[in-house]
Amino acid sequence: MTTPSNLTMNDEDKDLDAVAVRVADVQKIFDSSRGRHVALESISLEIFDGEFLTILGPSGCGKTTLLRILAGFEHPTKGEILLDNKRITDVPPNKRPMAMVFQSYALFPHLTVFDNIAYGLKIAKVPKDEIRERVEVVLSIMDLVGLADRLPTQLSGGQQQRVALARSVVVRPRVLLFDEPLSNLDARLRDQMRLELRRIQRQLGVTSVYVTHDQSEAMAMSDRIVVMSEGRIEQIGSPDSIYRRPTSLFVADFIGKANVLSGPVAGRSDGRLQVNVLGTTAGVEDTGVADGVVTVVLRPEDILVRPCDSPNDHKPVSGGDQIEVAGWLRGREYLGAASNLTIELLDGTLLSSVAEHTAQSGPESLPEVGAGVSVSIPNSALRAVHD
Amino acid sequence: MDLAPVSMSTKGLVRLARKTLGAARGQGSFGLAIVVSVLIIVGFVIYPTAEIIARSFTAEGRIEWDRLADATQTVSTIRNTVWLGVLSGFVGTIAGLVMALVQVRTGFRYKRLLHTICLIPVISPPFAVAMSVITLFGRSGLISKDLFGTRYDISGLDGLLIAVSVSFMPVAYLNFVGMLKAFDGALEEAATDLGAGLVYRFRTVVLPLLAPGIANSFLLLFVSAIADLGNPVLLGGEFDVLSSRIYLAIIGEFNLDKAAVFSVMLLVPSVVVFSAQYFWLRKKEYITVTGKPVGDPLPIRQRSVAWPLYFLAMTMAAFIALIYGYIIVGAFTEVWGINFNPTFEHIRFVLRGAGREALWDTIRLAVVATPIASFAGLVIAFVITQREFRGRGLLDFASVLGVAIPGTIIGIGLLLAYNEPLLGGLIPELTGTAAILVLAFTIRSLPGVVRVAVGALNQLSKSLEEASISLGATPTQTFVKVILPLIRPAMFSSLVWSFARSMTSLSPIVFLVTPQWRIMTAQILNEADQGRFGNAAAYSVVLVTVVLVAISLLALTTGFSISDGEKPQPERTA
Repeated sequence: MTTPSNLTMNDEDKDLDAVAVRVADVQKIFDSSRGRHVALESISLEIFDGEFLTILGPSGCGKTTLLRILAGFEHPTKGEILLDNKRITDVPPNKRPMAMVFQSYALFPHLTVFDNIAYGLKIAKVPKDEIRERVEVVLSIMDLVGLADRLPTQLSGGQQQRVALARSVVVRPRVLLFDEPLSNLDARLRDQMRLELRRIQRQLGVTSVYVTHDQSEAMAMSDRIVVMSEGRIEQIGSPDSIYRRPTSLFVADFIGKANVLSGPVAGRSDGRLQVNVLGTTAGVEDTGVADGVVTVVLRPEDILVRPCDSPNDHKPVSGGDQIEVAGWLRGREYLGAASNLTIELLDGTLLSSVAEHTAQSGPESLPEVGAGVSVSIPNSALRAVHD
Repeated sequence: MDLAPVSMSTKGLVRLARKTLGAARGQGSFGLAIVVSVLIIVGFVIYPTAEIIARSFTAEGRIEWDRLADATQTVSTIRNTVWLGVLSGFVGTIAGLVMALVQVRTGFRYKRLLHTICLIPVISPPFAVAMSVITLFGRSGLISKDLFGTRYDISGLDGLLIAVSVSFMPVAYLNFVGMLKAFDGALEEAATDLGAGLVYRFRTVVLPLLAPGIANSFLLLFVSAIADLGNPVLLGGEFDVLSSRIYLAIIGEFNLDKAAVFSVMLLVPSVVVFSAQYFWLRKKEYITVTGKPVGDPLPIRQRSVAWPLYFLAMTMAAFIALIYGYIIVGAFTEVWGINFNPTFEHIRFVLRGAGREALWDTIRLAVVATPIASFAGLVIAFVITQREFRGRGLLDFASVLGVAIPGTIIGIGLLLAYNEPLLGGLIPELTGTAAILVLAFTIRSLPGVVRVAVGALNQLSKSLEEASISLGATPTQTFVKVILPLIRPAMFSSLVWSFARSMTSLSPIVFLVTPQWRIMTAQILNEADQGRFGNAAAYSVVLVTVVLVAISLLALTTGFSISDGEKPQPERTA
């Protein structure tokens, strides 16, 4: 199935008229006897029609609070929520055309699968025949046919998860909200469910907001990712741009692995920044960071490692569009598809690299631990970020 | 929030109440629930109690204070009361712990029987024990005189201690059973792996974790013991306690001022001890009964430990069985303890004779009070558990405070508070009506119902409610369609509890009964006071039978068995 929504979308491609939800300057402060806690600082965000948006961040970053504000379970201290350009900030959760899928599934234990799914339709006073019809349709979409009369306790974790999703989609919500719905499943089932979840979401074309702390889930499923930290939005973008073009050290570090280097800015010209790192100078893209000492991040897979006989004789070189430095291999960790390498450079810096394995290049093709290596890093792989 | 012009509709009032109470932004029905809860507690617990306190500080009350403060008898009454509370708290806690240990931690063959015996006191009028103790161990008791040939007078502290400990031991027993069941067996296995033997394990792991629970039981038993009325009146003899002094002040001297002063003296230790338990000990509990399955506890297998436990438990059970069995004997023999010729005369007196009216009055009023208490308790529990709002902690405390306020004080309080029309005739004079008796029953069972319902509601995952709301249901629909079905077992327990409680309580109604409305417990006390122990025993037997029949009927109609209520609820989060 190939629809336009299959393609990765960047912010720039988006039709601004198709904003489904607008979060405008939302702030949330929890006041309790234990003190004042700012859960959300001042969040603004647009959620586009039909997209799968993931809010990603470590626990305590405010992502669940934001989701619960969207659902209406929390009221923002300041700011507004707009749905299709209408203000819904004060609309109670049961009057919002949104449905939430919970981390614990929250299936009603006293109701059968059928009655769980029919719950929202009965509340909405949908005629009996139509309820039956619509429940049967979602049962078949969700691969739950034949389980309609079971109680939730008689279902496996994956089945419970699908019932929870079925119950939410059957009411045809304008927006589907997901609160870490896969975190209670084991790893294998989780991978399977995330494919399925995305398939169903595309099939129905429903705008979805998905909260998780699992970066691989976010990368695999999302059209766009919102990375949050300490009540603030760090970065919004497609999974690829978040991974390849992080704007802050936090994002680079939280998503994937990153080597963190730093050095003084030597000069700025034609949109490039000359930074002194690893004993040489590299020209990196000017991402608007301030002068002075800047932080530069580097993904392990961008580092090319080659054997080198006498690393002490190699001075770091900066040539063309890459830099080359020498050092020793200090650690090798075999993972099957790849090996993690730890390299100590001449100046003592430790770098992580990764070498992929194929039938032709097994772990035996790698240098031994303690051997000299030379390392080449393309300038384009070095990214200057905010601290 | 828009402040639409406040109409004089109920909606407007609710909104106003919600604002004043600082309820979290919610739906109208929740605000209404808060208002109802506050009205119940303030109107029927706080206000009557305040009336007594006020009464004790009127001009007449002050005279009584001065008079009583000088009397040496007052000092000894207070000393006796505290002493009785401490001793029976101690004995009841140890007995309950031993029984619970055998029940939960051993494979003893007669466990079910022990469990049943331990629960008998819950459904019988507490002072039934006093009568049995007198006829067994009193001056002409079966065991004391006929077996050992002594003319020992059991009246006083010794007899009271026995009667009160037996009456309230189940409170401690059920408390410990719950705790021991929730005790994670893995903790002990870890200790065993580290080389600890049974005794060492008990001393270093089990006991410290149980310690808050032990203190808890002690304090609750203390409060129950000093509040008890029936046993001291029958068995106290020269040993005065505050509750019997209150009783005598009203029944003997018609002196409400004096009774109010004694009530305040009784109220202070009750509320202080209860508050200590509530605010200080409750937070120290390590073991929380969550309903989640925990590792199975290690059974006690060593004979050197198990057998003494069995012996103790069986001895206590035999003693309880003897006491209650002897009441049955008393109900069916000519003169209890003296002439053992079988007769149905006493039972006939209760079922056909003068007791008939009391029997039906009591059942009718208890049947009315039971659903009221269950519903009110559920509303209060819902308000306490479901949402944060200002004053929630206070409401929680006030709702269980009823446990600490002795029944006698509730009774006198109601008498004082509702003996004239209130709020310009909105509430008519209630003294002497059936309504005030229903109120007394309701208030007595309310704290228990609230506790059961809070326990059940706390086990419900918050996300179930949110899921329902997220699917479009209003909070009221959510309550009816999701929450209520899931707490049905707890509600069944509540109904059973309030019915049993209403049928068996004496202290709150003893000052409220009138010739129009007779209550069985008051009749029992009356008969026993007049020396007609056979009739009193027959009343007790009929009363326990009614409670058992009612429980069975409830079980049949609601489809739950009695044991259901004690089982952990099915996993909520699925």
